[in-house]
Amino acid sequence: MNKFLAIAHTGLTAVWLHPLRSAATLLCLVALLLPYVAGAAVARGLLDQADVAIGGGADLHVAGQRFGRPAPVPRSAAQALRAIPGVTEVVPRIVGEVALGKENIDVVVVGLPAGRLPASTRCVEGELFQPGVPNQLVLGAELAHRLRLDVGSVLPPFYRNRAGERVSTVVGLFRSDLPIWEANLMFCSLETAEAIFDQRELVTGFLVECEPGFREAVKGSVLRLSDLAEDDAHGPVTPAVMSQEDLRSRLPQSLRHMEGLFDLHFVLAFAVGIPLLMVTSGLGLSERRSEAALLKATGWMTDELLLRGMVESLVLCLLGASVAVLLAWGWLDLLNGIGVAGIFLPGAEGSPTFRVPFQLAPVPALLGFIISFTLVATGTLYSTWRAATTPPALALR
Amino acid sequence: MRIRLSLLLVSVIVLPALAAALLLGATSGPPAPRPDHEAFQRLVGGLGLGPAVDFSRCASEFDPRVAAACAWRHDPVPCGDFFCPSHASR
Repeated sequence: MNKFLAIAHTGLTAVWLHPLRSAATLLCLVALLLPYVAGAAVARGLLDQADVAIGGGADLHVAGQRFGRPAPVPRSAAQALRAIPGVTEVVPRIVGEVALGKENIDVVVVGLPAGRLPASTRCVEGELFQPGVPNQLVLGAELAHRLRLDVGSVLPPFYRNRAGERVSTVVGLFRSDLPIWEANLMFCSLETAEAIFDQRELVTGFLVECEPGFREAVKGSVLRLSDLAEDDAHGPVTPAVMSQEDLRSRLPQSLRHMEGLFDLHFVLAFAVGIPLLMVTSGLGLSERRSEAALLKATGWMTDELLLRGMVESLVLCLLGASVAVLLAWGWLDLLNGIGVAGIFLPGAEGSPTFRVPFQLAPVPALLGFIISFTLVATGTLYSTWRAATTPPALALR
Repeated sequence: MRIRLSLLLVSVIVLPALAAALLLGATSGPPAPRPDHEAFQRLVGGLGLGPAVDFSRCASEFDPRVAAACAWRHDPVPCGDFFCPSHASR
């Protein structure tokens, strides 16, 4: 046992004896593992926020379809939906997109009836838009930051409307520690959203609340409706329904897609990293050959040399994986994902004003450690074995 | 040399211990309740599901309730789905 520990200790010494080789290997390991650990952490953080987004939404989201594509629905369709047994509330909603500012910043516009809003909310600085008062806006933190707007700011007309355009007023700002989807949000009354898009009496969907246990029955009834726009001469608008269960079933799939994309990059990184790691681990380096020959000449056995190389690889990978996890935490928590948020979260700035969601998980870190140990140990052990099986006199020549 | 080796040994013990504590601390226990997040989602009627913060690239990446399918999936490139920047592993 003592002999085993003594050999293991020489493996630790080997890390220090070759500082350049060890430092290069460590750098490679951190460069490979850090993006993977950070990306997996962001994916899991986002999953938590998505779960809240589903729970905070309505039981059913009813939209319209034409040509098999999403289509606006007349607000009058709410009556048909309210008539379905088990439906307790139907709220029309507009979700659309406009571009604002000189940079044409993409803005997500959400319009809801002002009457359904609470009197006050902690997630908005300032106040919410008032019923009956047009063109009052609540903006996302990132959007307000990019457009240099604050509570009380006035926006010149930014849309075209056949009835004329109006000046808009920012009455509130969403706080920056809310879910990421508030970043570029413009929240306003249904009437204001109608004016922004110049679409009268049309909405993009309905939020439908059901009595407990009626969700599936209501979903079936809505899908059996032949037309959500009975007065429209252009033809029927067929219903498309998405329940909370439908959305929840998409979450693991979405996460897999996101991680799948990242896995692709990870494989590419490893394709570049394998030769680099093998070189830095000793393959092709004459110093390892000389070192092994010297140790063999002083009585070391091949298996002892391999054990020494294994310990050296283990120490380097432990250090590399640990540093990658600690840096990932520092990058995402202390630096709020600066420089990388725009890669993981499309549409976000390099230095976002919102809090980047993340949750570190042991499995990706462990997986990264195992793969990197396999790579480093392969390079180290192969070159050590080659050197150890060569006669010392020949290796030292 | 001995001091340097001791430093290395300490870092080999301390750094993995710190990393392990961080990982286990992050996953132990139930997720913390987020009343502000819930209030926001109730306010807007449930918004967002994917990693995008706007519709600029893919609306379904922002929220599948807004657009059920990714527009990039109809890319004319053969096997275009596998090159979609949003859903490459589809």
